[in-house]
Amino acid sequence: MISSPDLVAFTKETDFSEIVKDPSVLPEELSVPLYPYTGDTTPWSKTSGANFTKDFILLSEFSEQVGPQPLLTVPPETKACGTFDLNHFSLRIMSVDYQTSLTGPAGCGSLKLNFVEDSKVVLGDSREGAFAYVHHLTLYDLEARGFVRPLCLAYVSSDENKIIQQFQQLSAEFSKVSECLKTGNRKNFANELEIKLRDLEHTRVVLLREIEREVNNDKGSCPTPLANKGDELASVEKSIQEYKSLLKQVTCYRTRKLRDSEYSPYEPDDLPHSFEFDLDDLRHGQLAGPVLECDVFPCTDTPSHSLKPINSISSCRFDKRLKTLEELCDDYFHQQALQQLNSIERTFRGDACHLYSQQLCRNLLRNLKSTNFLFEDPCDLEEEVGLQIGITGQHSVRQPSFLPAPSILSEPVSLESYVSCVEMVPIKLELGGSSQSPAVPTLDCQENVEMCVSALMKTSISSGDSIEVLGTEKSFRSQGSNILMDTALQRPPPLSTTAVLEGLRQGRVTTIRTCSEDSIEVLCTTESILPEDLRASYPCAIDEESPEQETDEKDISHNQEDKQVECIYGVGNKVPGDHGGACMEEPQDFYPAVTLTPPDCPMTLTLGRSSAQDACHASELIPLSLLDEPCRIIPDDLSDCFSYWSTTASTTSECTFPTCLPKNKREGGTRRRRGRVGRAALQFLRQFPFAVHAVFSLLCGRTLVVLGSEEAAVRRLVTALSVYMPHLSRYRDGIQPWTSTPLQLTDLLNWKLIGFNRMCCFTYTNMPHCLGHYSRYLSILDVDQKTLRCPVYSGTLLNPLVEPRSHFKRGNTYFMFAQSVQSKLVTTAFLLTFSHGFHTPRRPRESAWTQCFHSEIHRDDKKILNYLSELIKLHFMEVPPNLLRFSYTTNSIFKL
Amino acid sequence: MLRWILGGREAQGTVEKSAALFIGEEQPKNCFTEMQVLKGHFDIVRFLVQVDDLRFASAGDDGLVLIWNVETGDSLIELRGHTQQITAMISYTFIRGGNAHTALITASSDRTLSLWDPDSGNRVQNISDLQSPVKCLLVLVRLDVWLSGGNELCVWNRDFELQCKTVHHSDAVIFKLNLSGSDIVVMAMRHLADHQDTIHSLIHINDGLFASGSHIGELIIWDSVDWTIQAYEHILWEEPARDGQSEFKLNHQKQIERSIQHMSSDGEYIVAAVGSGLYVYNVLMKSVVAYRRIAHDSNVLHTVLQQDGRLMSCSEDGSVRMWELQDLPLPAEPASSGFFGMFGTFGRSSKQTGPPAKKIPEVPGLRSLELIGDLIGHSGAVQMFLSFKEKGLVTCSTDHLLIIWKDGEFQSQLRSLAVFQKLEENQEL
Repeated sequence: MISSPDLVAFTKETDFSEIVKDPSVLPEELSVPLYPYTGDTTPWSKTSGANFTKDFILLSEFSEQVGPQPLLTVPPETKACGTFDLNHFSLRIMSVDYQTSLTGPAGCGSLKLNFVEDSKVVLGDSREGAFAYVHHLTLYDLEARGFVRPLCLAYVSSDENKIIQQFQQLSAEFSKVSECLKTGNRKNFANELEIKLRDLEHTRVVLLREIEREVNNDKGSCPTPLANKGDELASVEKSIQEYKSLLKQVTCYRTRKLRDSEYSPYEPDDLPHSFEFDLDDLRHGQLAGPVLECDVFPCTDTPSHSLKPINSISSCRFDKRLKTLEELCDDYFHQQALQQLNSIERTFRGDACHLYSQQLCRNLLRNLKSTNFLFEDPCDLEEEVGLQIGITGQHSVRQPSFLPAPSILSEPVSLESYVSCVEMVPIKLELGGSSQSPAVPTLDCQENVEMCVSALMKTSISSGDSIEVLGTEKSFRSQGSNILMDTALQRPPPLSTTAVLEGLRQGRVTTIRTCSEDSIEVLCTTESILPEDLRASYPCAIDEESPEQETDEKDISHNQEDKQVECIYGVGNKVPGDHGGACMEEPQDFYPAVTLTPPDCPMTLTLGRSSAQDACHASELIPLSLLDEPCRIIPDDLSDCFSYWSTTASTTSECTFPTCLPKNKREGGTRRRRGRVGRAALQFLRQFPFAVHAVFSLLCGRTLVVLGSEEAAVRRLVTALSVYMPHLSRYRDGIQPWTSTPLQLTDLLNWKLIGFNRMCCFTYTNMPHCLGHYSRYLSILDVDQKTLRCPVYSGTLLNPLVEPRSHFKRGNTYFMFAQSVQSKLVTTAFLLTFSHGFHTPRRPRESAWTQCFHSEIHRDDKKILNYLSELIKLHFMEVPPNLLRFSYTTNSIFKL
Repeated sequence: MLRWILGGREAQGTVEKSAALFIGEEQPKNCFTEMQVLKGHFDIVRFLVQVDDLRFASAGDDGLVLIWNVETGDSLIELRGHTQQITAMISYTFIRGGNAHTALITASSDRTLSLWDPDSGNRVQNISDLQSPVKCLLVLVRLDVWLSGGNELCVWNRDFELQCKTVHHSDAVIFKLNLSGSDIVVMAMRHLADHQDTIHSLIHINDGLFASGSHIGELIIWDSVDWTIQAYEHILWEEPARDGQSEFKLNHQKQIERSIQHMSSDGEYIVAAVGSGLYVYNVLMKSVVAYRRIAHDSNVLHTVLQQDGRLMSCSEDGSVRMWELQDLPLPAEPASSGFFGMFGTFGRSSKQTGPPAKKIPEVPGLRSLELIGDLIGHSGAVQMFLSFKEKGLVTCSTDHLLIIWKDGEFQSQLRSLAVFQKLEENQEL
């Protein structure tokens, strides 16, 4: 029934979908692949026997006390699952033995953590009619058996094909969630270890003192308790060593992983969104978001935790309550993960066909770089790399090119010096006010940073070494660190700040810089062992065990000879010596260098090397995935980028464009919004027989003012007309749905569709003065009097847009129809823009098309095409559309 | 009219009348179909000076001088330094090291004079604590000196050293000639006191002639050699009161401003901005060529006579108008007021219908001045404009904005060329 862990390396895209290739047709990136599962059954022919209504996400745990149990579902259980037996299904999906090696609990000499890669399998239960993409992951828990808590995330659907078809996307998305959870977990785990270590140290000191006292008090009188104490001390010291080793393994995890080219550290990819979230929280008086805590230097005087001696006899584990997920994972990351799960659920909601065609559409649109900004929904153009179809391979997860999490690659600081740090530098840094230890007085960011810096200075004094931190963090956000150091007023991006501090922290702590030779084991790649009911599974598990310990030791010894302790962040070419052939990916990134020089020098943070080109590249590549607002990344001015975001974020309340909605809302609401817009457009067409002239105004770049006294009516019309409006550029919408301030000249440049309040300036005439003044640049649709003043359209291109007004019933259909008509216009405009003969008329041989354009196309249609062509040109030249083109034409009045 | 256009109730019956008036929206001879709005000033922009083929400087009451690129509309450099409004600005080209350098001289109400390098934005020279603010500047290229005029007239050399100055001279018409030699001395040569009122404008026509215009509409053409009056015109904008004319026109007439605010010349013709009207005078023939009593709704502030018999004017009413000198069809058929009115922006046409040419039969060579297009964009008075030929026309205004008006067709072609150039560079062709 349930498959054994069938691990098939998912390497070639042909395994996934077979694309019909015919060299004579369109280039591959523009061709539409056939629906890959066209058997004799249509996607609709199958009825599922599943007893749940829609797809859901299940998070289960293999509890060491009760076995597999479901933890949560997205959407909540009552909504999604119906009568489906979650317990049973959890049992099934968790009973896969995916972990290839697990060391036993503390039995052997040194504790060792297994950083087990997640496994991704497709499991099916044909009797239940449930199929699932299952993503296994492990979190660490000091109190759990083997320190691991096996969990699994499952996307459960009744449609097997959907799971298989979306495998890559699901895998990419769930990897993100998993990485998020694991990052948060590592953080908490490290904290936990810290606390434990300090307790052990305390115990050791206490024991030592006792032994000393006993030795002093009664010499030789009572050897037995002394021997007991001695044993105890030995065991405590042993566990200290063990926990240190564990801590080291945890904290250097990133370092090791980053050398893996395929590893993508967790990063919030909807940064502006989460930033808004932060702002919201700010408004509520608390700084939330990334809870920045350098708990690694725990305060000895923190009242939240008092040192307690550790009883060397380990308590029985099984009567303990196990930690919940919230406790396992850092709060911020936990919330992020939940958000992501919700977003995944929304993204993959619905029919497989719909999903597939949507992805196809996005994929194709992405290739039409020069024209796709004109009419397409901005959210369709988002570079959802995780959702790409079959182009990239298994690891289509975006390489962090813009905001990566930090990577640590450090010269080892000796553990001794670390311990001294722990003891001597009590610092608790919290940038986000909502800390887990409420008793710490809230300081503002600046102070905290200063405190941090000074503490670090102290550290360097105390350790007697001059510490030079040469940050070579992989594509590190420079401004994040700048903000951190210079102006704590601006809030840095959540993770990057964490990154910095984590970086600092880990730079102090981590001790290895090894070249992990990860072993990748593909256990089994045959289909023969698949059970009958599981036709396909695309699991992939990579297990790795790195011989880091040995190299560790070496490094330590190597480095203890060195008086100057260097901590080098990230992977880069500054790593000296033994780095060898380890991955040197993306050497062109930002290298913020933190230099800690001996005590009297202030700490400097400089941008070691930056590559504007790279930044430029990044912004070209991911223009919208990172930016949910329609704002523009200025390629050569990345350092301003963030402040720019902050301004846009603060002004979002003013704009009401659909593009400004947070990503999640948009994705879910796109369909509904389109339907609404399409309906409004249909209504507009039916209401105004002269609608075509208004549409013409919009399409030839003439600003259309919807004048009315009733806001709702005006807004409705603006919505309707927005169907026809070409976007000025990718980042600007050009719609002002409702305004009461008199129009300025610059408004005409920015806005092409304006809802205008007639009541704004009372005049004895019907028309506000500003509209009269600029009347030659404006078309005016008067809602109250049902009149339209604009140039007459007598061409033919637009007729299909307005003619079939009686045939469409559904707004969605009309919206799509309108888009198809517009795409034809765009095609012609594209041809007009890029046909060489057209623009060099002196050439003897004029193309036939050019002649056709001159002779056959109507004057008004030429205007439309020329306008679109100008927009394409400006877009191509990357010039912001800051000019107003107009023509001196007669206006006519149309009246109902 | 506006009321009608927006569908006023009374609109129904007047369809045919409107058809004629709407011609004003169609301007086939107006090639400016693209505009770019330049923001940067915080107060009235009064002066525009061309620096070179690509660049121009703007200055105004905010004391800022901005250098712009006319092709892209980018603000290149901000010249900060003056604390008060700028009262005069002029470009100053000199040869240094074999290369021609163009610098800017500005004068401000804070009683300073500054020389700027428009390439670097540096304030090269600065003179402060003048006794009085400088009102106007003049560069004499031949002598490589420049003059500043305020309450006193000073002559300066290239290095901002004062060569000489006159003591306070009266407001009456004084003409001075500076004699060159090793020392430059300014002395009054002759007082020309033929004007009845304050002189507002004074221009150089050609080597032999210059012209001056006064507040009450006197236009005098002078001989520059012997300072004799060559011609005297007193523009009254007068109309013989006819029975047919309605009374409001008579009332209106009293308010007519006759001050000559600005004149420009191409050596043969003079255009004088007289009140809200335009007056074209042929200096060779010593005769009026054409005039329009009401060319704008408000005072005309700046005029330019172009090569092809066209002229432009800008006014306090916020518009720039382009005119063409056209031969009148027949003397017997005076230019119909309706015809002129059509070109006016609707809404003003009723006021403009006054027939401009009662003198038509009397003056044989009279031509008509026809509106061929107007540029509407500024919401305040257009202070000045500067033409870059095919690259466009820059206007500055009291609404703190500058607008570059461009030929849309031409710009579109340029953009296409740029696109193909980029394609070629990227080897995508």
